[in-house]
Amino acid sequence: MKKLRFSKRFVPLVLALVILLTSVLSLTGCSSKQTMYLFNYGDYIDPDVYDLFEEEFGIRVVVDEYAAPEDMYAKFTAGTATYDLICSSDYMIEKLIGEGRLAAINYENVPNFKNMAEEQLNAAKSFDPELRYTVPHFWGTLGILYNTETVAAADVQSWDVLFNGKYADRIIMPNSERDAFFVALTKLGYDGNTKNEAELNAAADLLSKQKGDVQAYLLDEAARVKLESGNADIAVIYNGEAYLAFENNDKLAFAVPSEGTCIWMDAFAIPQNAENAAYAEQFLNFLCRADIAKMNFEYIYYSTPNQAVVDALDEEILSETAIFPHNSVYENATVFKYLGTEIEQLYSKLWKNVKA
Amino acid sequence: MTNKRNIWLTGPYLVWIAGFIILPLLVILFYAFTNPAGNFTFSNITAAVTDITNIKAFGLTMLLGFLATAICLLLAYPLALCLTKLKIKQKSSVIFLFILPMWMNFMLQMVAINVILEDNGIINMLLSSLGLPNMHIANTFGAILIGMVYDYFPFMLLPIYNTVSRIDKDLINASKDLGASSFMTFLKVTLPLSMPGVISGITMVFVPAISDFAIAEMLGGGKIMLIGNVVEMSFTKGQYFQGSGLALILMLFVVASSLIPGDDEAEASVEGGVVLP
Repeated sequence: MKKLRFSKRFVPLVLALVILLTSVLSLTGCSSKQTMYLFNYGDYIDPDVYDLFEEEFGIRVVVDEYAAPEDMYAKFTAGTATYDLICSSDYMIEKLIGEGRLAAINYENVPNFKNMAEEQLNAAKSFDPELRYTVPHFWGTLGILYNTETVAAADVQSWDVLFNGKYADRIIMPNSERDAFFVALTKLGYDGNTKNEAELNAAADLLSKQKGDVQAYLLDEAARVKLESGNADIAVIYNGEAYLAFENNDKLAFAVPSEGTCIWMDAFAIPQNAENAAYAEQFLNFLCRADIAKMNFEYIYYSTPNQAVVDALDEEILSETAIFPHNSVYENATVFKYLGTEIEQLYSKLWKNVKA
Repeated sequence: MTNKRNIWLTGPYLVWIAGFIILPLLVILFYAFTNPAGNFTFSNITAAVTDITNIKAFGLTMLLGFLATAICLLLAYPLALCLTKLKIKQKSSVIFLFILPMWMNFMLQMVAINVILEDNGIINMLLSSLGLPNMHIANTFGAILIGMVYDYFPFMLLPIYNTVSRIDKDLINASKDLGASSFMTFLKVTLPLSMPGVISGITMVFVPAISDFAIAEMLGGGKIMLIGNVVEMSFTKGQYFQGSGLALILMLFVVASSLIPGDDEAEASVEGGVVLP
């Protein structure tokens, strides 16, 4: 009897201890291996690249993915996870630099950085003026993907097509506040980086009015699939997605409206609190290597800033304007700037009102 | 004595509750009454209930919650009654059919519903082939409602079925012996005895329905914001303080709706086999 009582009392305790110990062990077990933690947009690097990197350098890459730069910022600054390398967009990088959250990259450890095209490095200076913190990944423009059977090519020469009600219920708008507001601001003739409250309010009003004609607010792949399947006729989308869409549906075409568009650039940066900055630099050098950059290019078909890749491409793909836009696109293109916390909050508030 | 000793067995779960339920609740409580400077404030709460966008979202959420619960109840109750009349073997296979969708990943279910409802989707293809005009359901309030009913239906069916199937047949026979019609028997015997199941079904559908954001996000095309979406948006944009204020208000609704009275009393009456007057 005594024995029974003993076990009755201690079995649960032992069980609890075992559970606690195994959970602690399994958590610490991972960090003993050489590991680099990357925080990236979803599906933005060919998964095979990680395997090749691990094979060659013995460093495992653990990737966390996010959808919108604001999500990244919230998680990154919450400090719940430490990353060795992050990838984000122009204005978000600018914000992180401004807040002193990024560490300068030692470019001597990234010799393949020489592959970067001069023009793209100049564009990168809009958010990293001295080029001390970043390595560009991809760049591109916002434009209109449309169905040539149902939409007249002349219509998509202006952003007006999204607001005049002609294609009501067939329109997909981007589910990202900066992109959606950029379209409305440009249509109203305002600067895409405006901090003027009246102008932003006017853009929000325009977007609210437009909402009745919008079928859905979607990003990237989700928007592309709607057009490929013929469920929508017009989508505001990044050029790289457009090229993928052509492969799946040859009735689709891409246009950049004449009022101008925005040029975005996504780049890698090393956080100030990175634990393995050396691994991150090694990985960056790997990404800049011509063969690996080509793998990534052929995985995503976004415009690559890697000159070595561009030089090796054939004429057919270089002439594809959805990937390599005409020079005229640059002339009235805006690069997103970080607008400060106050305007950022105004954006959030207005965007919430538009969507609700 | 034995009860006291067995309390040890709850140890692991108590640790779980403390770490993953109590602690996060305290964090939310803290954020809800704090401003970004770290001072005590009520402004997150007042903003949560005075902002016109939030009120609109609350209204939509409640409407959707009520409709989804009502539809689930209307579909599940008659079905539960029919199920009890089936033979044991048929019973288990029919119930199996209703639980089957839960084997599939939730995201896949929603993607599939979207494909069915889309403008070029399966429903519209069928309508066109019959020469009927197309319906525009995708990315509307209706689409979210369909998604919710689909997703939460088993949670309404199972509790109702469990209580209905436990009703003593003798009570129903007695009611008929005493001259009650089938309808009166249902009204005076079956319905009151099934109330515990109905109430737990309502709670199990209404509570998740009003705190949901994923269904609205996936089936609403980002055009309809429920209160869950507003909370999610606040948190992903790093506005923890406003988000926590909203979450706290939402929690009040959840707590209120799970306090629907009569639960214990009705449960006791079933176990005791006594019909309430």
